[in-house]
Amino acid sequence: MLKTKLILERLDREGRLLERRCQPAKSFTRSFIELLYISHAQIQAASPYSMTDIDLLPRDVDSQGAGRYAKHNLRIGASPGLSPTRCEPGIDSVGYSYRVKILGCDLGIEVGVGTTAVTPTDRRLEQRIGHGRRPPDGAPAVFESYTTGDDNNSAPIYGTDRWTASAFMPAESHRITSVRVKIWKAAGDTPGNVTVLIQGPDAADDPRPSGVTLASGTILEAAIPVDTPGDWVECTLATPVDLYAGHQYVIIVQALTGNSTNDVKWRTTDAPTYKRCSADTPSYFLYSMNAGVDWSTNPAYCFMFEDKGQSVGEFEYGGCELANILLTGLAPHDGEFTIRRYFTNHCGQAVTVNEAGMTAAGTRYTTGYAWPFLIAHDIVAPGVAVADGELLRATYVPQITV
Amino acid sequence: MDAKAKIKTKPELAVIKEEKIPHLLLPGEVGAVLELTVKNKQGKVTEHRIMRSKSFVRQFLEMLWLQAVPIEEDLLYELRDINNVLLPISESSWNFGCVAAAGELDVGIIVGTDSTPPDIDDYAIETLIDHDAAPPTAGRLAYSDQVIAVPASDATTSQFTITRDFVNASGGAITVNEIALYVKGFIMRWSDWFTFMLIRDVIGGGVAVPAGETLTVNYREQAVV
Repeated sequence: MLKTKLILERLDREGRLLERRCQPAKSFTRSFIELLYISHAQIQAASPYSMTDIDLLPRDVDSQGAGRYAKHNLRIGASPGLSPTRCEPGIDSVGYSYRVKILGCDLGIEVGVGTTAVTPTDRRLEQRIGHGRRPPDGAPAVFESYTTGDDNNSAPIYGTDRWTASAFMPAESHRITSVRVKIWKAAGDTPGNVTVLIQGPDAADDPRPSGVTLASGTILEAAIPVDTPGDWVECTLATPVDLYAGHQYVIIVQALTGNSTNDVKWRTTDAPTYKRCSADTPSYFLYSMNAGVDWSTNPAYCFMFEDKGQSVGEFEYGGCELANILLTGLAPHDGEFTIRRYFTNHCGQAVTVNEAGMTAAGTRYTTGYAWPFLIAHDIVAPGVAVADGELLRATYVPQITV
Repeated sequence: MDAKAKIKTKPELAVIKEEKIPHLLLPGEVGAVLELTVKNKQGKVTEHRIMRSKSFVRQFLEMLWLQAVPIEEDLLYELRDINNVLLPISESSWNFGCVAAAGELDVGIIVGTDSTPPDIDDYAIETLIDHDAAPPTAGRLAYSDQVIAVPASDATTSQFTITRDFVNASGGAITVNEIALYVKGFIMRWSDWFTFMLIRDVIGGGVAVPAGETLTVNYREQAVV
């Protein structure tokens, strides 16, 4: 039987131990069982197994590899912070290096502030503490935006024939609570209410929406400004969702009951300077003419938007390291190894850690992708308050007993 | 002479409905539940047991660790295979693989007759019950194809089930006392795979498989929150 200990230790600037918590981990989730299943069953790329990644997107994972190419399914060891960790998919991935890199802070041990009880189907921490030095936001702040260069152009939005989307990539993790878009309608037009959706991308190198909605909100028709140049309208998301630094997302705007003579128009610029988007398809302007089945891009334009939300504060993530395995002198159990990560609080305020977890890599052979999946999740009660300047050492120790 | 038992090459897929996931593990445990079912030629259940597996021996922890680090072929870590040979294993797409065809004895669920208690350092079944390729052969069981059902979960437990049938067409009763799970591990430099034992269980009192009957072994690997 395998049981796991979770140890959280708070250290001062000099590395002196201030507090130590040791608790049995509740821990391993369905994603861990799924990765084990994929390996046992030797799932091949022709019939992959669908898992849900930390962006709540479905991902096809397999256990196929060619020759001596590495296959990093179940990889937990990770680079520090935003440094990429290369997770090999079982083929020559040199030509797809951006697909197989998982940010260091997305792999291995992570910590957060959520307090909701763990379930087997948890796919992400409830509210992860991101990597960096940002203090907690006391009120919603603007994270990503494109608000300059309005060139008096607009894209029409109506029915199922005209959906539009703006791709963006947060530089800092946060919980998005609202979206502001610069829109307008012609006098007398009745496009109906506007729906705003937040979705993840279809693939690492393609900003086209995945079709999986992470959050949504509504702008009432009466709130849509009349005539050019339009104005900024804020759409509060019904259920805020965490967006992770370095991950790509899209804001989709729809006017589902509108038509070509009763439409909403989203202001654009034709000299975009917003550069945070996918590596391979740097387009922030997307549109669909068939209800989201197909999406087209136009890198010459960018929509006017703001992404607003709040951060719970950030820690600097060290690397996630795995110490050597031990199989003697451990009575009453028989074997163990250690997974450990340091988090440094330089955000200027105390942050209380209420949850911890681990992600591991799953990979796709055919197209050479790698994604992180949450394999362990624990609630820490009471929470561990990490003051500014202190370090948190989080350790998982899987132990087996025969 | 008894009519020959019909040998099914592939056991029924043990797809588990949510409400049927056996809950024998405690919160926080990762392990296996072992289910043993003996049926006669008419399909009637003559014995049925469900128990916690004693579970993982050191090779499970070692293989999990070298995938997690990951240990690549230029570094290597030695695992003991079923022939008691230390072999330099690295991470690979083959590791943990246990797809087993009928008659294969070097992968999948394996049965034996020894009742020595499991130990962390066990590396192979103690006394193998061989595959009966040409029944009737005394003391042998016919190993079926192995199937692995897709994962399922309920409010507390995630699992998948590995299933293998063992048909007794030997003409005499056979008592199974030990059950193990063998998987593949790959040596990149040699481009070859070898067999490692992950689990070994001893069944208290053994499970008797009368002549003409079939033992179905379900290993349900589970994680409980």
